[in-house]
Amino acid sequence: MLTGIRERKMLHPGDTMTAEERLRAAICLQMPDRVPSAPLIYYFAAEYAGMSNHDLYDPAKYNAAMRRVFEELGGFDAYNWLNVYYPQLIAFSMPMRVLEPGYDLPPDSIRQFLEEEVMEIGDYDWILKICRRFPLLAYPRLFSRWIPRIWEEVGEGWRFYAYLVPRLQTTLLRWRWEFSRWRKRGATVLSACLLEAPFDNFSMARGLMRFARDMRSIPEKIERAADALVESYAFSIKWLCLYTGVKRICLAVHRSSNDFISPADFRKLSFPSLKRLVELLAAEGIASVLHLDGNWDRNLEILRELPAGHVVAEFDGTTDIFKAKEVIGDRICIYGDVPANLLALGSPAEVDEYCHRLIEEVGRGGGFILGTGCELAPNAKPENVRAMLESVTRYGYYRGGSGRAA
Amino acid sequence: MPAAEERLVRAVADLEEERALGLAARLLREGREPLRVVELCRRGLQEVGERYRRREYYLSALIMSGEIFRGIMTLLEEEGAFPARSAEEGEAVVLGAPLGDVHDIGKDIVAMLLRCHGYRVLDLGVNVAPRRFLDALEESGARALGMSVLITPAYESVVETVRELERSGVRSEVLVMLGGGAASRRLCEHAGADAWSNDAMDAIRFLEGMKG
Repeated sequence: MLTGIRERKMLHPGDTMTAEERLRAAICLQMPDRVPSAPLIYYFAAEYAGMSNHDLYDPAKYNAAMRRVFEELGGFDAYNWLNVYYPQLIAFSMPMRVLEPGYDLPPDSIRQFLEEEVMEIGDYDWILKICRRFPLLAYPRLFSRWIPRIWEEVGEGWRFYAYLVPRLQTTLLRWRWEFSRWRKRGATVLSACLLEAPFDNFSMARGLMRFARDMRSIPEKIERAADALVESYAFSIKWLCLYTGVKRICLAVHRSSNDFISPADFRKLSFPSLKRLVELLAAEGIASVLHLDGNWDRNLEILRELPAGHVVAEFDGTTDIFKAKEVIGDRICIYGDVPANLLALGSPAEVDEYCHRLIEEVGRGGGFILGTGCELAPNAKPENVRAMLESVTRYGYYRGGSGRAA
Repeated sequence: MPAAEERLVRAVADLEEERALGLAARLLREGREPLRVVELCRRGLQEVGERYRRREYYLSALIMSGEIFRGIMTLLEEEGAFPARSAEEGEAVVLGAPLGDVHDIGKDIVAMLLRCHGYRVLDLGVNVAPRRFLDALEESGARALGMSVLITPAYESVVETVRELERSGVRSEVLVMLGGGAASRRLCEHAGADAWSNDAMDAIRFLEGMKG
């Protein structure tokens, strides 16, 4: 009897690589046996399983719904996830006031963020001070300042830690358990967690209107504060990766696209801290999955400066993903981008056609992960989701890849 | 145009807030009509719009220009010179986020831009039921409706709103515009709307097209 050797579970009959091997190969810009798939699924699972969105706060219901999607709609290689069981924890990624289904909104609504002031103007200086005193622990210190402004019940000082640490511990333990379940099903886990890049955290926490003014009046403070936080972000991410056993992190960059700021502002104010963070993580063997919502067409050249083979660029259907393949495809793994409106309003044939084109053009030579444009639309048609997930086995096997020949 | 007036137009266009406010105050002190100051600001904002179209400016610059305009209007109010009538004039536009969507940022940006360009905005807020859109159109006599959609579950409400306009027999008289991250050609066709964009400035283009 063999012990201590983990079974290399294959997801589909034609596969010659495990989901983890396939994902790693794609991120390293190699050609795996076939294109991996990693849809970002949350509210769709509730809709599909006939639950309310509020039910997803119940771990058993969430896991049952996700399992049904996986087993009934064709399976996927990487579990890309958004679940937290305590709404207060979302603020660690997106420090904004939020309306939650079942709490502030009807149970079937989806979470909605509000543009209010969580970060005060004086917080830029406070961040610089706290980063000098606690360079590695500034991240939790910062959020212990912001989260009580969002959630009154959390409290400040020791009450913050008393309230959130047990909830955080419970959540991390559940995530670890859930990750192990996904691996047993033959899938892998895309990222240890989802966090927001420092510049984008400021934009969210200040609110768009106030932040637009900050960018004109105190750009150097934004730049310095974002840069000062990099070490503590990297430290927290390393710890999360170690704890969850996933050496990838999803870094959302929600407010740096061409929809919000100019390429010049991106280059000067947002990119330096993002680049340094990605480089620090790459040095630790942690890949960064950049969640790039909005239009990034004019920022693509700048992204080329990120370390090759350590970065994934996840697009949501707004950026020209085919152009992105040409501009950054030799350095960055491209991930995306079946649009929400296509999955909600299109037909399976249209979805199939689009996925086929993605696989043929963006998947050429490897370095591509098929995904949804941002989160899978809650009202996506199940038959469209199936068409998307099946496309990787229909069209995605590489001739001469590390797997079987086409 | 006198040099001081040109400087104000340029300060607004260059997004120099303090300079623009200072110049506006000076022009008022020198006896310029408040409406003339507003007109100069609007010229500056038109230049901002041009730079945005040329991709020299981005959304953050549009927001900043709106803030400068707001600052100057506040200044006029403080000086007791606010041309209140101007707020009641101009073409009316009804705006809102449809039922199921409570995101207001996109709608607020469009509202700000429209006000800057002289439109009278009836902002119904977020989570607006189809019937409320219709009532607002009827009460105000507005011939344009803008719905801001950031999430796909609000699609149903967009479709229902257009149907409500059809049922009431006013559909052909109203320009229905869709905006926001979840707006798309596919949604526009599906709902039977007239125009869609993910770009806030396009609202002005659509409305100018309606006039023309």
